Amino acid sequence: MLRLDLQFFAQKKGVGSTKNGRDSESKRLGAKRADGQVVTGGSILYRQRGTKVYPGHNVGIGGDDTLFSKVDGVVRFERYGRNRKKVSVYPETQEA
Amino acid sequence: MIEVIEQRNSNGTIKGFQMSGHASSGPHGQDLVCAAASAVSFGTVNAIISMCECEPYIEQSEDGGFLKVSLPEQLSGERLNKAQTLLEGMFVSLETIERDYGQYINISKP
Repeated sequence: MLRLDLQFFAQKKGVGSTKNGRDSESKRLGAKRADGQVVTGGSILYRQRGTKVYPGHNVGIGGDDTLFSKVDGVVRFERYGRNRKKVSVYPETQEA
Repeated sequence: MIEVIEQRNSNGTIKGFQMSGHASSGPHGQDLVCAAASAVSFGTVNAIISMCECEPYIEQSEDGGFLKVSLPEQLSGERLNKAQTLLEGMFVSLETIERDYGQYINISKP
């Protein structure tokens, strides 16, 4: 004889709810200008936490490690030492 | 949704049925449609075992949600007729549930 389970065709018991499922607002970090792009002084080049990318020529670093251009010119992402990167801005006259 | 599949021979006699899925008409322990379908189907199988003195082939998932029952081929005569009546009655009962709770149970005929 079959043993009757009145919930045989029911969804299984609810599993304990996970404690995950939360996340902070994404901060849209990363590059804001591309290599070779012409920018004006004060333009934000790179948003970051810490210095993934270092400030190069004519580039300043803000309190939140944001990199910004100090002059009008062309953006260049360059190597910095063995395995680091930096971003510089070269005035167009200097580039040509 | 519980899917009920009637399995019939070419001459229209019932050879078995399959039920699978979850009614999800309420939380576990309060799923009324599941309880109704379970009681009707399990009750019928047990009635066949006791009244027709036969052992149908039964496939049943361990954690619920799947039941497949087939009548033994050698079942015949009066016992086969009884089994047919019991199964026809089961389908009528399940159709009664389906008529008013159709979003939780569906019966498909061959």
